[in-house]
Formats: sequence, structure tokens, C-alpha cells
Amino acid sequence: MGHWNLAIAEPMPPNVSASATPDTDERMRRLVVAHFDFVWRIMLRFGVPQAVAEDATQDVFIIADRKTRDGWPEKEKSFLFAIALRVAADKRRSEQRQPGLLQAEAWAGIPDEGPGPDALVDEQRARALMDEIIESIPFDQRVVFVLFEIEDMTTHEIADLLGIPIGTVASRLRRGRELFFQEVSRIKARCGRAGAI
Amino acid sequence: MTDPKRIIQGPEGTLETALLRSVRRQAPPAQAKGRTLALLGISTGSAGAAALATVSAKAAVTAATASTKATSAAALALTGKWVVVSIVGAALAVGVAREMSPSGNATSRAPVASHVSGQASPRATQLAIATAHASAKSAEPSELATEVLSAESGVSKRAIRSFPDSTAPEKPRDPSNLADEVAVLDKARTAAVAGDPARTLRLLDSYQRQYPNGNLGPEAQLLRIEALVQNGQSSVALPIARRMLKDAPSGPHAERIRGILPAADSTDGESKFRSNSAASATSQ
Repeated sequence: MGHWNLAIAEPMPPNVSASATPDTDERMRRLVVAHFDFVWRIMLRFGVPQAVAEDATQDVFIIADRKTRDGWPEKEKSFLFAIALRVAADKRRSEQRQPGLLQAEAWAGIPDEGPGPDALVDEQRARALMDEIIESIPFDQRVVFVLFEIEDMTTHEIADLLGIPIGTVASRLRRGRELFFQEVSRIKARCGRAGAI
Repeated sequence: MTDPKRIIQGPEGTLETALLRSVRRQAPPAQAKGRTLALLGISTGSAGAAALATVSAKAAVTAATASTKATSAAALALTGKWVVVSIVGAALAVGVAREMSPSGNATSRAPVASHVSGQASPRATQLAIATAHASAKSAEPSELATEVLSAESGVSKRAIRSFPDSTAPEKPRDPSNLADEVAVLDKARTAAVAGDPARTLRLLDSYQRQYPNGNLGPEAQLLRIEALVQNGQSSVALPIARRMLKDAPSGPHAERIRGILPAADSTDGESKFRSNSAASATSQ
């Protein structure tokens, strides 16, 4: 993986004093319930092995919990997304320092759905290929590609989340998709067949 | 501006759609949210409670194949301070798991163990260690005068209210809480290792608030003592340490606590203690 250019500014909560109250506990609970799956998938798409994705996701919400004590963010998802990218980058750096630590645990990253062994292997292979492709896309385009093609967000929502013009989203998406198709073509050539994994 | 058609909406059966579909289907373990809420000290409701029994069982099975992982888990213990306890716990955990195996052959469960550990967090092994440790230790009357804490440590009142009174009969502990208990303490330990005693204390408050009669009360107390010292609050830490030693002079943490006390018992112990704590915090 190349250099992590975390150009997305972490939205700071508004300057509103807020102490831990049952109300903030409830807001935090809703935040976890609403966005846990999203943050967890972002971890996976940005290089965190599945075996430690839950831990990384917990880190995101712990950081969010601490930050929201100074005030609640106006855009919760943007707020979490920025934290998630940083946590994912930290995990990746940690993996580079201690390569055995995360990789040794990657064996445990078996999905919890219940397909049979063959389907499971295919599913895992597809995910591994997909992650390889995603990793080959430059960071800015990758963010937009993941949010649009995997997280099903609209370009308007992405522009809002990232705080960038919608035209920029569209151009990054276009470039991200070009790179995706290029990589898929390369994989097809490598596998010697198209249309199946 | 209209959004372009998503790739997944393209023709079925292509590599592109298969690849995208594989990652769009991914979802975290069902109980992961409950574990995170518990970690944050927020009510988990019935979902969280349901998570616990499952995870406890999984962790015990995992331990059967995890003797090497258990060693790694021990290495993660707070800068080696808990190594002895963890190693003893790891050995016990393997024993517990063997007992739980219907065949009595722990290694025969290996595929199951590897699968379940993928569903729970990688902390399952540590959980197994803690399970064995908790079951092995005798009930230790715990804790400290709440007034001392409230006056000096900044521990939340909500947490202090839930501290057990050491003179009161100990309430029964609930082993089904163990998964979440270990998860919270694990985070606190990680924060301590990262040199963030304030966060450590906050997580310990969360632990205390949720599990006033927790299975890992003494471990939480030992961690609290260390975090307070790290935070320059040795005057708060020392009464807790003394009380723990008095209550359990031959407990699993007694040796570690004795290592803390001498510096404080000397006339200038307090300043020395503060100096050491500051140096320790700076070095992290």
C-alpha cells in the first residue's frame, strides 16, 4: 500500500459544552447502533484484517465518545468516517511494524454467514481479490469508489460527507471506476477466464 | 446531477458484480455492537446480555487450541506486570477448556475453535485466560473507601456509588458478564500501555459502574492503582494498594502491590513516588 494521504479533515464538534449525561449516553448508543456496520466495513476496505476489525471499530467509537464530550458533531457520519480512516491507517502502520501480529490473526477472519466450504472459499477469494483491487486505487478515488459502489451512498451524500464539491466526487468516482475495471481486466487475463472467479 | 448506474446493477454473473457483491454482503459479528456499547459503559439491553454467554463459551473452546496464543496474550499484559498471573491463567484456561470438551481431547476441537475466534474478537484467548483466572482465585474482599476516591481521584460519583463495601458480604458474581468485563479491562490495559492514564481511569470507571461485583474486580483495582500512579495521583493509589494487600495478603496481586508500597511507606516516599510516576509517564 502506498502513502496514506488523509486529506479529509476530521470535523470538529461544535464548541458546545456537554457533559456525560443519560442523554449523551443515549445519543452515543444511537450512534453505535446506526453506524457500527459502516465503520466496520470501512476498516476492512482500508486495510484492516477482519480478525481485528472489531477492535479497530471499537477504537473509533471510544475516540468518538471522548471527542463528543466537548460537543456533538453536526455530521455524525462524516465525523466517524474521518476517525475511522485515521484508526485504519494506525492499524496498518502497526501491522507494518509488527507484520506477524495482524497477519497471524487473519486466519480467524472467517465470515459469519453460513455458506458451505466451497462457497466460503469462493467468497473469501472474491473478497481478497476485491481488497487487492481497492488497494491499487489511489486514496482519494478509493474513498469515493468505496462509498459509492460498496456503501451505496449517492454522490450528493459523499460530497456532503467529505466536504468536497459534487463535481470532484464525480471525477474521482469516474477515475476510480476506470481503475477498477482495469484491474478486473488484469485479473481476468491472469485467471484466463472471464465471468467467474 | 444524476448519479451514474452502479456497477452492481450491471449484468449478473460477471466478475465485476461478483467481486462487489462479496464485499457488500460483509457484516460484523452479530454481538459486536453489544460488546462496543458495553465497552463504552452504555446499556446494552438484551442484545448485549445474549452476546455474553455465547462469547464466554466460545472463549473457553478457543483456549483449547490457544496455548501459543495464550503466551502472546500474556505478553500483552501490562508491560509484563501481569505475566506471572497470565501464565498461570493460561495454563488453567487450557485445563478448563479440556474439561469442557466432551471428548476430553482439546485438540480435536481445533477447527471449531478457529472458526469461533473469527466471530468473536481476537481477545477471546485473553478472555479464556481471565475466565480460568477468575475461577481459580478465591473471592477477595475488595476495594477502598469511596470518600478517598471521590475527594482526590476524579472518579465519577456514579462509579463510586457502585463500589462494593468491603465490610459487606460479597454479592454473588455473574460469570456470564465475563466477556464484556474482559473487553473493558483489555481496553483499559491498552490505554495504560499507551500512556493514557486518564482514559484508563475512565474505562475503569465504566467497568466499575457496570460490574460493581465483577469477576475481575481485583484486576481492575490493580490496574486502577497503576493508572493513578501513572497519573501522578499516588496519594489516592496508596490507600487502595494498602487495602488490597490487607484484604488479600497472599492474593495473586500481592507481590505486585508490595512492589508499590515500600516507596510510599518511607518518609519521603510520596515525593519519590510522584517523581517515579512522572518519569514513567514521560517515558511512555
